[in-house]
Amino acid sequence: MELLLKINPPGLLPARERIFPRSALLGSRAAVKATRPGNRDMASSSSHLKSASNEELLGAVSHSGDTAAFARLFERYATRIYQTGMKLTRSEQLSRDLVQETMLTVWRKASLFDLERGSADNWIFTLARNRCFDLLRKAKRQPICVSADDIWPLGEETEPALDLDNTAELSALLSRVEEFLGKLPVAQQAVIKQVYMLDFTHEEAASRLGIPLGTLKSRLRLGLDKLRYLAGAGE
Amino acid sequence: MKDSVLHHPSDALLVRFARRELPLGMSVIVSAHVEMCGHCRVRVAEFESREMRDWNAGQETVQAPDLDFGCMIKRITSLPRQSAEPAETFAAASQDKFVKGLLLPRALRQAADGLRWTRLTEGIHQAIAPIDHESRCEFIYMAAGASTPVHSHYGREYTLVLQGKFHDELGSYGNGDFLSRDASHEHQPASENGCLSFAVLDRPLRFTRGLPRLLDPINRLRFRSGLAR
Repeated sequence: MELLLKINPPGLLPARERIFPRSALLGSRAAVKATRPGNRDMASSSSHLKSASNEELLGAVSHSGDTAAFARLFERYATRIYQTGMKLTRSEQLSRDLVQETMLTVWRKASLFDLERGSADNWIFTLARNRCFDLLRKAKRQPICVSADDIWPLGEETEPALDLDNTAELSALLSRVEEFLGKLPVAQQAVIKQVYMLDFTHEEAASRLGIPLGTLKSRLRLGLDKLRYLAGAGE
Repeated sequence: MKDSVLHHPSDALLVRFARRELPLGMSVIVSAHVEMCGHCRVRVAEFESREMRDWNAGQETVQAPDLDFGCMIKRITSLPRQSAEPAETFAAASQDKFVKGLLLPRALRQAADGLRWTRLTEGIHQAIAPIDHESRCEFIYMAAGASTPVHSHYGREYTLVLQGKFHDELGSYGNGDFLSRDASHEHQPASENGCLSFAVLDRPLRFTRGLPRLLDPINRLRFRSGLAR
């Protein structure tokens, strides 16, 4: 049971007075993850910038507003964002705007990036497509009573929860987590065990399993999502 | 353990959702379902990661645009950043008389602000959500014991149950269930204990423009009684 409690991702918490999940508390946790001091140490010494990962650069932007780290991110992503814009809008002007809008959001909201929920690639790709969706709607003069970030969340806010009414249900559920875990693909089981049961950091777990960090994170994310699904599907 | 969501969008629809290819109203209803449904979140995550792979694979082939990066970077970094403390993220629950204390999926919250309800028939209420020019979006509230007259739809209609249950000839639907119905379906939804749902009609309004039926207060429903006998 002790082990099982650790596997309790935010989505398993029963914060439900109403029929919809409200686990916005995740936000503060996300902020902490993205601003680990280690990231800053790595990135702010400029000799390390070249080899710093995108996640580390984002951490440096988030933690101290490191402009060199931001410029590095800009170089790495601008072309791809521009390309996405051209594909979706066929307009050089809109694509240029898209690069600016997306990178501006990266600058302003780096602190909301959540390492736990995905790679920097993933986050910035989602941002770019969301900004693009909004730019296109503006161009079409659609009413704006919903923004793309509400439709395709960036992960900084809502972690959808399970339909749990009381703690008895929760403990019944937790006692079954091991069984659910057994239903996941072996590769996903392995990363979840390393991180949630053995308490290794993502980096340690990746090197123990001999897989790239990005692979570990995506397996972890898919695995947790499946766990939530299995738990939610119940009987 | 409660029943989970039983009725889902097709994979084809989820793929188009992940690719941002759906019209706005459709994107909104699929997003709201996905927020309520773990099964579809997993599917969408898989489709998204395929998109990601394509994104990363395509980067070598494109020529760098002729952009003044330096200038853009300077302008951006001169602007303030958002503090690490996230803004208050608990949305205020809607004060609306039918939405009541319900916390709606994110994609619907803003649209549900200031709804104007119209009574269509005994126990059936409708409020248009001004989301999209290309589709028709509305909230429907069925009071306990209410049922609509038998009807079919003009275009394809997607319905998401937000709270409560309703049933028709084809089955019974609860929280989070996503239904897709086309013009060939004739049905008579009814609810025993009341039901709030959100519906999107994907057919552009121009198809129905000019039809005298649009003047009917229940303008999206075609009543048998009014037509046949």
